[in-house]
Amino acid sequence: MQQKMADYQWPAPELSWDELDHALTANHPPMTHQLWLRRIAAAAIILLISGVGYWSLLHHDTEQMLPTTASVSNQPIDATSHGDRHTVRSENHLTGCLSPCEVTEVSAPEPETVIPVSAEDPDTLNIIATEEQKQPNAAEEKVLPTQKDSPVIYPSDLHQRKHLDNRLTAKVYMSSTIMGSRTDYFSALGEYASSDPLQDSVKHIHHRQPVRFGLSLRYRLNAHWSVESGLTYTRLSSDINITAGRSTTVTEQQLNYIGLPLNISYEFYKSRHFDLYLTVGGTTEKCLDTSSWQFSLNGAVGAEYQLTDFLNLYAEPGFGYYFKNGSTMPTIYQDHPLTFNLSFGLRFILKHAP
Amino acid sequence: MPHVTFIGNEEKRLVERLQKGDKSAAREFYARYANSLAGICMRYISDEEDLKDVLQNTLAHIFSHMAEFEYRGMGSLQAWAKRVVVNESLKFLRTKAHFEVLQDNYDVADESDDDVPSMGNIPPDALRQMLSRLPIGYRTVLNLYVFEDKSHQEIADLLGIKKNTSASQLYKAKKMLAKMIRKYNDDNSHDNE
Repeated sequence: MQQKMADYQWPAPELSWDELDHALTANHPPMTHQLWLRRIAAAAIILLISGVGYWSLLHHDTEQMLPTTASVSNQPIDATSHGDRHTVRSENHLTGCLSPCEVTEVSAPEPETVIPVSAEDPDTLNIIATEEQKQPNAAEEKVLPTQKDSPVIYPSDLHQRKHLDNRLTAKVYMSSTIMGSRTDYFSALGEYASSDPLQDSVKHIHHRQPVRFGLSLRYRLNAHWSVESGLTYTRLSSDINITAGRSTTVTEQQLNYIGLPLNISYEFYKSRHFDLYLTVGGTTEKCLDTSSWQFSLNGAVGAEYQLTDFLNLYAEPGFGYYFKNGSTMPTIYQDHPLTFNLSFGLRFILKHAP
Repeated sequence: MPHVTFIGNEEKRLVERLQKGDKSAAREFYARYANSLAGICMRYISDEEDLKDVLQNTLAHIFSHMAEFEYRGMGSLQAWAKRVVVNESLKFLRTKAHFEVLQDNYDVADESDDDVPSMGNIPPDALRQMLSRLPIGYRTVLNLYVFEDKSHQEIADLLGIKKNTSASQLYKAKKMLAKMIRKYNDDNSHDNE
């Protein structure tokens, strides 16, 4: 008899939702008050940091336009465009990129900015260079004499100078998801229906496009590597539409996250005004509306364009993978762990060479 | 009939959303559980007219006590909801009947065979109808003992009756039910011939 009645069901009558909603909220006062306090606090932190950032930017702008900066900006980063070194550079440009450590410096026109990474026998250099370039001996012959009577600026030198040049940078950015492999991503497309075969309830969730704002500081470790951290603010918004019995309710769920990203970047291409780099890292985010934390991994390819000596514009198309966090809130992170995003912003050079 | 199933940790999600006071979660709770809770309620109450009141009180109790509920793994929300609907049903029945003064005033003819009749062919709906025809004391004790796995001591405490009364009510409930089942089986086999 127990078994027979174990799943016994009876069509439930429609209830008075006014009373039930009251019961639901009476014992749980809405968190709006607390929420607004938190939001204000978060906004204050962001303003404070951006204020400090801006102040130091101005500070550097007025006082620390160092001579090195000027000389570097006059230096040919594009190696093919500088006078009598033309031949050498056009031949060795690629070599330098491939083996930046193989540097021979014969004489430096601006000693304070050219820093030899290693000084080696020119013959050794040429052997390596030739091997790596897989060039015929003719190239080697061209290279040798010119190297002996004119300074050779290899990209590693340029890196060295440039990285000292913008040792510490700050950026402000905005990031948003872009259409990636998940075609059902955007609000209009991000709808899914989960229907319970037992009950006549259908749930539709429309996830809107998440938007993230961030501030971060990047510190260059050496010519290629840099580390970056800061603060992010992310806002997720979803429309949850539940049809249960004869009633349908639409709830807008908004979640706010403050995040702490930690990234490392590797710069793999540099020209006078343009850099390309790879960046990978992780972000820890705290949801301000619930007790949940969200961890994610992210990676991106970045392209940076130098607008002025202290201001760069950049864009980073990338991906983020969001781990399941055990939270019960239906979020775009939980429903679509892999997202593709585009981040763009400005990077300010705060600290030049010492 | 299938159990209410959850994909992943949806039940935990539902609890958290209810604890936040999310109204859409309340609708979802209703959609998932109301029919099953109504089914339990209908074992206790005989009149469908009273179902809405009991169910209303059940959900109101659940929603207003959500903050005190601690999620303890899959199915714990449903298990708690079932306990609440039983309590609300009993509370309702107490307004209708005075269990304290239950007496053995129903005569059950002593059947010669005490064998448990076969229930294989009885649909759950017919069984529920039989339960609803049992006197209120019999039905309540039988429900608590058989479906809610309560001991006679627990039933006695719940209803404010003596332990022995619970046992005798159960005995008589079983007798009466067995009689109904036999009759149902007989009628059914006649129909089939």
